[in-house]
Amino acid sequence: MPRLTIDNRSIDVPPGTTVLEAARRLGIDIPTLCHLDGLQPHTSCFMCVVEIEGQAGLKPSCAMPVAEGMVVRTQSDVVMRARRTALELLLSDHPGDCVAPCSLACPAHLKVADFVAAIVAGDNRRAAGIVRRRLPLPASLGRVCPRFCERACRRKELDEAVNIRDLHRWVADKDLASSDPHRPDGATESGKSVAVVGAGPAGLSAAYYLRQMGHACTLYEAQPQAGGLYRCGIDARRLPRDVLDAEIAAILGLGVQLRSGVRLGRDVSLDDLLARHNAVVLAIGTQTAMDQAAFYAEGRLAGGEVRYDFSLLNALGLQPSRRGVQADRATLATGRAGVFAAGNVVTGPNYGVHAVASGRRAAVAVDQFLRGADVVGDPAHVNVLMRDLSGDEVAVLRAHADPSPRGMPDSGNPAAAATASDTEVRAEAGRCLDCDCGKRDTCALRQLAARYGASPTRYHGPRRPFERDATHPDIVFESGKCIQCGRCVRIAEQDRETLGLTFIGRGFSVRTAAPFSSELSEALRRTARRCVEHCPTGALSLKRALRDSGG
Amino acid sequence: MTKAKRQPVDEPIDLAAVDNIVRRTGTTADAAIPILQAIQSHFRYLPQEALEHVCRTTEITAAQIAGVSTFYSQFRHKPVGRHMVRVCHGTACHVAGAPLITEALRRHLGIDDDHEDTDADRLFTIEKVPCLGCCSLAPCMTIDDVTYGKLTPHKATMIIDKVRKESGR
Amino acid sequence: MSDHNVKEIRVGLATCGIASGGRPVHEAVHEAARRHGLHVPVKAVGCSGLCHQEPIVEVVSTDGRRQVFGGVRPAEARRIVRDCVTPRGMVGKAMAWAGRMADLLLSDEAWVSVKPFAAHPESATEAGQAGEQKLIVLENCGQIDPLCIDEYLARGGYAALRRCVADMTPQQVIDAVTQSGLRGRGGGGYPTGLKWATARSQQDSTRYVVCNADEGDPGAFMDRLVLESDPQRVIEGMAIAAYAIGAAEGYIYIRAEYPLAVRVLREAIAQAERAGYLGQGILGTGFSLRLHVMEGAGAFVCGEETALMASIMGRRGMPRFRPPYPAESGLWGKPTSVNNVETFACVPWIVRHGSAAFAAIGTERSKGTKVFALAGRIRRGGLIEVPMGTTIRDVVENIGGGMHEGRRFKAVQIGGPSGGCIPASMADLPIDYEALTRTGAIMGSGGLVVLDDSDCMVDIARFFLEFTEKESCGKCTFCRVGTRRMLDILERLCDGKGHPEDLDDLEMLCDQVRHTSLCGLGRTAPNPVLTTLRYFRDEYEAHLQGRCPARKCKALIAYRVTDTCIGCTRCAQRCPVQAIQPTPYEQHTIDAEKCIRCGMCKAGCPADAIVVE
Repeated sequence: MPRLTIDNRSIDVPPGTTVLEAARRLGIDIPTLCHLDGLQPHTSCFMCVVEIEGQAGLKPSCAMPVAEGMVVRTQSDVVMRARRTALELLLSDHPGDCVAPCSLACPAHLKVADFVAAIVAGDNRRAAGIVRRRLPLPASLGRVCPRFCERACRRKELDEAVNIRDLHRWVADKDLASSDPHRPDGATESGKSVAVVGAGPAGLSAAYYLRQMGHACTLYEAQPQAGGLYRCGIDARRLPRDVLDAEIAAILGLGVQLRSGVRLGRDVSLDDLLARHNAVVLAIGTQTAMDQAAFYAEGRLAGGEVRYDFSLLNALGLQPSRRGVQADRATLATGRAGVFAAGNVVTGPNYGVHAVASGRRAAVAVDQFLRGADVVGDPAHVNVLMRDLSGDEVAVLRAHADPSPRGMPDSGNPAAAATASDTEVRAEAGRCLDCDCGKRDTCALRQLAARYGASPTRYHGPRRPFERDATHPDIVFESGKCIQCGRCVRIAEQDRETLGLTFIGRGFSVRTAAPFSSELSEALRRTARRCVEHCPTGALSLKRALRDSGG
Repeated sequence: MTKAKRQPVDEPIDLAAVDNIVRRTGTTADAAIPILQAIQSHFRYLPQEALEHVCRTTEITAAQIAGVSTFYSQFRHKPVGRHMVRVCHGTACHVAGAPLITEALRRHLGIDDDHEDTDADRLFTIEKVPCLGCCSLAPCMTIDDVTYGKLTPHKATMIIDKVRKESGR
Repeated sequence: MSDHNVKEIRVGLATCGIASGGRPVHEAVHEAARRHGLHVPVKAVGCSGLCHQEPIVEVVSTDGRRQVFGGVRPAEARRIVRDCVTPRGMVGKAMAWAGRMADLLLSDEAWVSVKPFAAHPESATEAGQAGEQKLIVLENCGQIDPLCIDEYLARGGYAALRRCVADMTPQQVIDAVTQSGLRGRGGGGYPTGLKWATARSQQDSTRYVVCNADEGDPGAFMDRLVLESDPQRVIEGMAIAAYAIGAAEGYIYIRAEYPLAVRVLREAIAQAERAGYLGQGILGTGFSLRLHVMEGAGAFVCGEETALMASIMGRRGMPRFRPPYPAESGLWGKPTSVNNVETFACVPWIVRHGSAAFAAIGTERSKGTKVFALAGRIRRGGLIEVPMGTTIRDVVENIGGGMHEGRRFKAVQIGGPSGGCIPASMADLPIDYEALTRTGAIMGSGGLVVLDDSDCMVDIARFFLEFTEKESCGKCTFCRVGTRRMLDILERLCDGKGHPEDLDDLEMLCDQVRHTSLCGLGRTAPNPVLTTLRYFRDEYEAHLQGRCPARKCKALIAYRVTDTCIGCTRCAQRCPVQAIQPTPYEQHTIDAEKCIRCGMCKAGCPADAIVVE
């Protein structure tokens, strides 16, 4: 049995074993895209490359047989750089959007297509759950949010944007009014406790998510009631107080303690809080500007210079920034251990949707801090973006779109929007083009790109057009996203599909497709779902209705 | 949402000729390239119907024949013009100005579309080839079986006109 | 019966000869010989390598002297024949029209003392230009009728095979080839003996021998010429290889773009079978060999041995990862030795003359000779064969005749898309595998294109990348996408739209593609870029600043009419986009907006009044 050394560890394996298999036996993880156990090695992606002492160049471990005395390195700088380059090259030729433009434009990254699909499916409770994973105050935001999402909506290329804000308001209103409103699953109690200072949108958001993570949570609010700017800065005609109260009640209902009338620096010190709790989230807004409520419009402080009470920050022992308190962009950690900041106190005056997004991000970081994990904030995602579409690409979207015009009146008139019927709402939801990639959360290419720090914009050339083939009843084929790994080709061949798939052309323009331009449903009669399952990218995905939209 | 159906074939294909080719060449997978070459030399391109017929009558699968026939640059899936013009783009011809020759010919024949290689009269098909192996005659081209060397853009277009005249067009 | 001392007349009818109008010349010679009662063989031979002088007629006298005429047209061909038959007066006659046709007469070492270019070493030796070329592979090219096996036999053909099967064990044959130091002539330079030994050592007794004649390098035509001119030599080499490794079946994979070579080869195989050098029980022994000709269908990557084998098996020509090497597991999983045309062509010579004779030629690690297709900006292009170790300068200046008037030797591009550009300053480099590799180029299969100061090195790099990008099989990421991204950068540079960071990016990408691609195509694709970046970086930097020093890149140049214009309007007539208004007898001007920089005006200007800036 040949003995080889991989990353300084020895192993004996039978002759004919590949380096990849040997590494796996040692528990060494080597990433792969084109390799699939049970299929002949294809050696196309070059993700699995390793360095072998005494041999020039890098070798694909999936096909490299072991040899006596071989010395293999799987993690060297050269290997890591090659893997990153391979990913960057693949991403440079990958027309598609990982995440729909609406979700990316939303500061809270609301998974729009997911909740909209739940509306279409008639599952309002699930829709509400999806919305609340990103928006803790969806009914309130549904009235005051400036709708960044709709500005980015690709449906605008065809006619008008989908009425996303009214849809989530409708979902939230309906849920709050139901006999059994959505309530998030809580984690087991962690035994840790967090002080959240300020019960505005940011503080409420932080508390809401921290509670779901199993941490005890106390909101300290200087005002008599929770709500922050949403209560004292926005006209009750735009944001009726019963809506706000209901949403706050739902958050407090998770077991969040509210201590109102307590002002930081006057009634309680940061040191006190740190002594009493395991972590503190400062969501004190632009506290000194509270009196200038008249300047608030659409939830954001409009115009005027904000005089921040920097003496307060000094007193708290925190580093000020130009806008407020200095905090890490990703984790919102301040200079003091265990103290995080969220909302306007970090960003300066901003919209409520920014505040709730910031509150959730702080909660994620605090949770990492409390669990003793690396405090890194939200996991980094790599997003391929198509940005502007060509005429042909708009035509592709049109070919797959429900042609109905806007089914709901614009929410410029809240009363009108409020009266939309279920049918109208569902019709409106049906207008969504579902721009998320069908493999948004499972794409191996995207996950590896994040892991290796690969940038999709490292190399740029003319973009290949986006294409979509939805003729198959179950699956969608977006050929531009294909990385020519040949898994589907080999699967179809192995299962003796009459037509199957093949590589068409060669070089950079090589494409995976059905022979003779046959329809996908003819080409993959038996193996369509298996091909989707093993496709490492969003080139082959299940149709929305068949996908488990876990969000 | 259906894609455009397969393009209708203008003329019915003589499948008996395909049968003959298969009989002559063999029915195993390794006969794929010789079969395709024979079909192309018979029809001057690869009609899809002929390829489908090959799949029905041999061990060659649709995936194989589609993959192979699009891999090699010799194979054409569209009918060609009456005359094949092959402009050599080998190294020697490149430095001697082959790009200008191809451009001049395309312009002269009014072929504007980058994806098109045949003129509107379907008289000439222009092909860039890697090397004709006549480096000492650079830049050179062949029209059908005749080689023309030491070209200039002007000379190349004059040759085209001469061939056109001889074709009676 | 006329009085003459002519043994035979040869007309070069390889592709280059035909392309230059050799057929009518051949007919004219035939017809004239008949008319003058000159009953000597008029042979259609291949090419002797003097491609730049085709059509070539060669008159061989009974005493073995040879007279080579270049650039012959039918009328001249008739005169050549007529002069042959004039008794005794021949010398005077020849002298007389040697004066008239000094440029026509190439080599006539005995009869007339003009010697414009003695490219053929045999004649060269007599003419006192020894030491430049050494013919092993090309020894019969242009001398024999390729479709006549007897002529090959008359020149010692198949003696080597006979000796192998009669007197040598396969192992002895392998040893002989190993000792000769012969290395693969297809580019890689892998020791041929070692490859054969590996194939022979495999358990499986079904083995194949494959001849790689898929010569796809733009600017290379060695294989075509050898196969068109002396096909039996390659067949004999294959038969020896088959005997050595124990193969009973072989394939010759040849480009379909070489129809003449294919035809010649098929006929040559049939003749060899009839003569008992192929087929069952060769030369009365138990050794049998069947050869098949497989025409490639246009894919440069099929020069890579695993891709070539995939193609023979009827698949897409996509390389696969090695190991296993073809010598271990090749065609249909059987041990297969894949060797190049030139490699096989060396083998009979080695057996006939002995390993030591071969090893005596060349350098320490590169033995024997190398055939090059010499082309580009030199006076005399064609096929040459030089001993390994000959310097680039010898090839360019002595054999190729140097640059054209007023031009400066800038670089040689050697090895095609896998090779690189070696600057004139390094012209004293000896041609040998290791020395070339050290420069960043490779020996390659033998394309040697000479470049002068009118050639843009960035454009050359772009040209080769465009080629490899198109010829990439599209399998592995680095080659499929990497070469495309490299080309993107080079195109930007040639368009004057480069970014300052492009050169570093290009270098980085080259490095990654070189180290991580699946096969030789990808691994060598960066060579043209890296060598030009290394030796001509100033030209890249000039492009970044929007200048093309060689005035080649269209986006960076402009055409202008100078005051030497005579107002003949020819440029205006030729301009395809009406960028020049005809103004008779006045200086013309070019509308820069309309001008597409096609160069038609400049090419047609009788007063040389159009300049590129």
